[in-house]
Amino acid sequence: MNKIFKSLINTMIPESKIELMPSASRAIKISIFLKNILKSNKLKKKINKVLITTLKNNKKINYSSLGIKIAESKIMEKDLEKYLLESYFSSKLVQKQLLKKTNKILSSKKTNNKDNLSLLKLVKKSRLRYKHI
Amino acid sequence: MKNNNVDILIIGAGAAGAAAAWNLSQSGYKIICLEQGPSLNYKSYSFSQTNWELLKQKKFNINPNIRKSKSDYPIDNSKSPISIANFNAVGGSTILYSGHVPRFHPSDFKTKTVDNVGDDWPFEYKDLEPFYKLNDKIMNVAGLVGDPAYPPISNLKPPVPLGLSGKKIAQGFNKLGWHWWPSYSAISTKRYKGKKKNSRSTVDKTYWPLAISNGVKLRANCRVKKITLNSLGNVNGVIYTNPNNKEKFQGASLVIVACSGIGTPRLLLNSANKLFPKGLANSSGLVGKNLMLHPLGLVEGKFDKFLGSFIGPEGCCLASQEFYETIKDAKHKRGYTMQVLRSSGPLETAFSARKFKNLSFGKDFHKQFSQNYGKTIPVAIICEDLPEKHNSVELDHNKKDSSGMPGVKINYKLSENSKKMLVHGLSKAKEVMKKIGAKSIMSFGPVRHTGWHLMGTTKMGNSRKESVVNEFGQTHDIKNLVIVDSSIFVTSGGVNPVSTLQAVALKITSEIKNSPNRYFI
Repeated sequence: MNKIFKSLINTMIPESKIELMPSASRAIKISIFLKNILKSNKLKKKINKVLITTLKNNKKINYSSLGIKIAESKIMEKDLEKYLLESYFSSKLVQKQLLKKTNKILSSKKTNNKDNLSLLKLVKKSRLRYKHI
Repeated sequence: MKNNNVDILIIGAGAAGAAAAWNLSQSGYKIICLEQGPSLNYKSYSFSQTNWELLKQKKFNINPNIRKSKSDYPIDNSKSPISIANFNAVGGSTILYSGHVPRFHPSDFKTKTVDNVGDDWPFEYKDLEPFYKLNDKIMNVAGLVGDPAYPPISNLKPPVPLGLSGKKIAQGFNKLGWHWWPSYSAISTKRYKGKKKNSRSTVDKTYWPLAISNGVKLRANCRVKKITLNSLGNVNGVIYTNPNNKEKFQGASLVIVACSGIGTPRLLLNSANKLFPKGLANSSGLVGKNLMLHPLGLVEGKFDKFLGSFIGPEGCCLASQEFYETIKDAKHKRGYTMQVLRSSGPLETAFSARKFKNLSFGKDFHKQFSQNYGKTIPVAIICEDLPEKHNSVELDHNKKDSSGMPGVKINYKLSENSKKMLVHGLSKAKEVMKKIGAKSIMSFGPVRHTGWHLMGTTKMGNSRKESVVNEFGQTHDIKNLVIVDSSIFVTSGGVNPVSTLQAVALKITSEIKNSPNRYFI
């Protein structure tokens, strides 16, 4: 089961060297992910059904290829996406990478308001005055 | 039942209850506060945790019907286009708020005189000003002095950074010659009294430690179910459930209700008795009526360049009040604030991109995610909601909370004025987005899950036929029953109400200190 799901989620969220982002299985602990999704009886039944059907049609297939096949068929995508996105984007590794990327892009640009005077210069164009009652 | 009378009993430990407790704690009264929610560890709800977005969807969801914690009560929103958001704990909804704390404008207190809509408050901006100032100090409010949209406001901490996205949209407002100003935020922009820099000032960390150190007793997980009267028709205490869900009586000489625009009418209606069969202090029939919610529109511009727009305090970085007052020739009366928000974090960005089919799983997942993340600028249109009696809160006897107390039903319709105001606001925010070259613009309103600002359901006024409490927060019907939360608001303004409701709570409780004979039997 772990091997099947590892390749399944890695096909859904693969590693990206250009975007400097890890694959799903590097960010998520598969055993915890599985435990989470199997809490839902409905999903448990669907997973069993999909596995049995896919195995029937692909008798000599290995576990990794089975995961890829299920991912590519998109048959489980709607059921898994919430769990997958939640686990992936809450992982420390993903957040660390996103922060690293953000800092790299913004490092050359000042984002703090260093002093109030520069802010006042920026807001000087406003003509509005509050209504005296 | 055992009777350990206190001088003052406060119901609710949120923004208003906390301010009231602190202000009264300096007067030597024996005070107790009962709060239906728990006392939380700050670390458990800090937005700096890696799983904060996940927490916001579950345990700290703004919707009590999703959280379904023991301290929440059921809210039926099926007859309202806007669903109610709140949080029940020591700290109340400030636990989840964005910390955006602008003041009402002077005209907000005089809408009848100025625009012939709503009603005038029994006091004015200048009467509230010293209490705004006091509240700003305790809530550690950051901002920039010199805002032309307000009478002078001083003693603010340095403003929160605008960030790249804030600076970009500020240029748009400048090009149009429209007002904008860095936000008023209850966020520590400097290290202050041991608080971490950049932390939000939630009242469990500001008012409550001060009140408790002055001797106020705060009891969490204690839900007040009924306010009780003596044979003379004066309040003599409350019946509440303790943390073990056992019913108890707490006697008090003065009861202060601070349970929000939904919780307060719920409690009064549930406290109906022979003397007040329609609900406690409800001889006017207005308890639960005139609910105001601030209909909210959202405009989101998407840009080519990375703006890091999710960086910074979650709420507002700047706001425009160009259209806050009634505009000549407009189809609506009164106005709105354009509040420039931070964009979503990664998880919400992914969910939203999936919803709008901008993100697919597979080899392009990261590329598509990057096209959405940190490249949007959201603007919220916060519309002033005018009071209408048919917008109301009533008890729902079919759905009960963990103590057996009825939940509430919301009856709310968007007024024609609000609809027109929303249309105006959405089109103006789109104008700004176009000025700064947004690649695409999405807009809609009212946004459903935004019913944070709960006002008007125990209206304040001079006439006992047309209001529930007087200008001193006392119910017209019962001298020693006081309300200090936003349910007593006469009108809603077009800004977040927390700063005003805290200033009102400070004003009323100062009156209790200065003129106790007015309140105590």
